Amino acid sequence: METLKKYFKSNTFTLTILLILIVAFFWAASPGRSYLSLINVTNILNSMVLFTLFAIGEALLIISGSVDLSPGYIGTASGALMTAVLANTGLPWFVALLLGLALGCVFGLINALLVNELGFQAFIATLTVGSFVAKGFAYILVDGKVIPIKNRVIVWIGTGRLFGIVPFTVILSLLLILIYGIILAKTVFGRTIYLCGGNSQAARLAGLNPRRLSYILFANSGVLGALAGILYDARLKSGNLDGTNNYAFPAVTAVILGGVSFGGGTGNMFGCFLGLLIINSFNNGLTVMGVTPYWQSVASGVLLLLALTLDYLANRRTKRIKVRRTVEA
Amino acid sequence: MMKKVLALLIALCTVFTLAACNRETPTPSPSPTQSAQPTGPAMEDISKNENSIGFFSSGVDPASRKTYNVVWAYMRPMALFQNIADALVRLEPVLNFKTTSYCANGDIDAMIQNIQIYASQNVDGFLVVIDPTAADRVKEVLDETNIPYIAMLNSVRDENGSAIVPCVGIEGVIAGEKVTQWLYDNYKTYWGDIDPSEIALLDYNFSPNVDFNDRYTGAMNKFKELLPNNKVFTADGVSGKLDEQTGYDLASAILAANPDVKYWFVPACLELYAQGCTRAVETLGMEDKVLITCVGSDILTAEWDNGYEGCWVSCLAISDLQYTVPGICGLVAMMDGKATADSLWSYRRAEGDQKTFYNILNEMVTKDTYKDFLARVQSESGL
Repeated sequence: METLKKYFKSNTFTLTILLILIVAFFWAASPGRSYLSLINVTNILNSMVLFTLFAIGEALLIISGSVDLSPGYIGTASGALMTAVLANTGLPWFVALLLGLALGCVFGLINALLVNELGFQAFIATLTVGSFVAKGFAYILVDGKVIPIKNRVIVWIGTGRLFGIVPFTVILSLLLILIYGIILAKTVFGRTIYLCGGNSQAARLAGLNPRRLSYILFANSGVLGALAGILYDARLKSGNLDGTNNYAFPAVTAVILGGVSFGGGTGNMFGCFLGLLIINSFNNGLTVMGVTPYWQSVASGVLLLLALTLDYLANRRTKRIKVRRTVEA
Repeated sequence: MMKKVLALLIALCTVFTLAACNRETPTPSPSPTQSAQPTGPAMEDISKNENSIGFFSSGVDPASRKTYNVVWAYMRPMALFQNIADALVRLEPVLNFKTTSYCANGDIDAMIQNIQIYASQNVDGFLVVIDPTAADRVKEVLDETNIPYIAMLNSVRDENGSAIVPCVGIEGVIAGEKVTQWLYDNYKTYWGDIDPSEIALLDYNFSPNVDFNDRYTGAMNKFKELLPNNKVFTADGVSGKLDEQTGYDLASAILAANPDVKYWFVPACLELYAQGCTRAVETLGMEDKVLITCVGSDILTAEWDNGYEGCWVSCLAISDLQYTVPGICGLVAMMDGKATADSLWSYRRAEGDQKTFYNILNEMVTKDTYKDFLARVQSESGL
C-alpha cells in the first residue's frame, strides 16, 4: 500500500498518465485503430532501440552529476571502425565488433581523463572529443566513403527478428535497460552513483571515490554509444559517415523527461524508459496521422514542455507539503 | 492542483476516445495495388504514350477508383524536395491521390522506421529519395512492404552498375559534362577574348553520393578534355554538409589560397553549393573572375525572379514537374496494376539496366531563357 502511495505521488505516475493519454489519443485517431496493432507497437519499440542505449549511458552520468555529449559521434566512429575492419581485413566478425566497442571505451576514458585530470567542464570536453575527434576519426576510417557490410552475422544482429516478429535489437535494448535499472536501484554501485550525484563532497568524505566512478561511467557511456553505432550500421548494412551523430541530444531529452534531474542524484531507469516511450509513441502517432514533418518537430517540443511543466508543478506541490509539515512540526 | 489538471486531461481524453469509438470504422477497400499486381508474362509498357515531360495515362479513370495514399519521403529539407511536394499536391485532383510528405531530417534509420510505419497504415505507394548511404537496406525494406515504389533523384544500382529500381532522375555524368561544356562555350560572352590557359576549374563534389559524384566526374572529365593542361581543384562537401555554408567555406578557402589563378570555372553538383560559392565570390570581390553554373534550377530561378545578375550565370534547368510528373504517373500506373517495376518505361531502358532509370529532359538556361523553359514544362504537365 505504501509503495502504491509513493508511486501515485511520483514523477513516474505523471509520466504513466501522459503515456496513457498519448496512446489513447493516437489509438482513437489512427486510421482503422491501427496504432496499437502488433506491427506498429513493434515499430515504436524498434524506433526506441538506439535512443535507449544512449539514454542508459546518459542517465547514469547525469544522475552522477555529469553529462556526455559525445556518444553519438563515438557510435559513428565505432561503427566505421567495425565496417572498415570487416571490409579491409580478414578478421572474424566478433573481433571487428569487439574492436568497435573497445574504441568506444577508449573515447569514454579520454573524456574521463579530460574531465577528472585536466579539470575540463564535461560539456566542453565531451563535445570536443565527439564532434571533432571522433567525427574526424570516422571519416578517416572509411575514407569519406560509404562501405557496405556483407557479414551475415552482423547484418542479422541489426536486422534479424526473433520468431519472425520481434527485432533482435529490441530485445537487446529492453534487456539492457532492465539490467541497468536493477544495477542502479538494487546494488551498492547504483547507490554510489546517487550519492556522488547528490553531493560529491559528502560522498568523498564517506569514503567513496567519485573520480573512479566518473571513469567507469564515461567508459560505459562510450561503450553503449559504440554499441548503438554498431547496431545502426548493422541495421543499414553499411558504414555510415553521419551515423548516430545526432542521437545523443534526443536521448538526453528523453532522460530529462523521464525524471532524471540535471542537478544529479535523482531519477531511475523506469522513468527513462517511460520518457523514451512517450517521445517515440508521440512521434510514431504523428507519422501515422500524416502530420507534416515540420509540424512534428514543433509538436514534439510542445509535448516536452508540457511534460516538464507537469513535472515542475508536481515537484512544487511536494516541496510545499514538505515545508508545511516542517513548519507544523 | 496537479490532480485537477490530470483529472481534466483524462476526462477530455475519455470523451474524445468515446466520440472517436462511435465513428464507424471504415472498411478498407480492396486495393488494386494488392489485387492487381501483375504476375503473368511480360506486360506491355503503358508509359509509351507519355508526352515530352513524362505525363501518361494508365488507362484507368482516376475518378472510378479509390483515392490512393501516396507517401513522398525524402532525406533532408531542401527546396527541390519541398517543391516536389507542392507539385504533387497540385497533381492530386488530376490523378486522384492524396500525398503525405515525410522528411527524415538526415536520419536514414528514421526513414526506414517510418517506411515501415507507413506500410502498416494502408499506404498505396511510395515515391522515395533513396539515400545512397543505405540504398540496399532501404530497397530491402521497401520490397518487404509489397507496396509499389519509385525512387526519385538517386539511382539504385547493383555491384555491376545496373539499375535495380525504377527511378526518375538525371544522368549525373552527362549533366556534369553539359554544365562544363556550357561554361567553355560561353565564357567569351562574359570575359571577352581571354587566354583560356588562365582558366582553372573549381569542381564541387559530395563524394558519398553516387549521383553527385557522377556529376563531379562528368564536369572534371569534360574540363580535362577541353583544357587538358589547366589547373583543377576539387571542393568535396563531405567535410561539411549539403548546404550553402559548406559551399561558401570551401570556395572561400580555395579561391583565396590561389591568387595566381586569373579565371575560374565553377560547375557545382548541387545548387546549394553554387549559392554558397556565389556568396563567397561576392565577399572576396571576384565576381569578374568567376563563372558559376550548377545542376538544378530552383534557387537560381528564384534569385533571377528577384533581379539577381551576378556571376552565377546559368544552370542545368530541371523543373520540379519534370521529376514529379513521370514519378507519380509511373506510380499510379503501378498502383492501378497497369505497370510493374519491370515494364515501366522499359522502352527507355539503358542496356545492362534491370529497371529503368528515367533520365529527365533538361537544358541549360540563363536569366534570359529560363521563363520560356518553365512555361513550356508547365503547359505539358497535365495541370
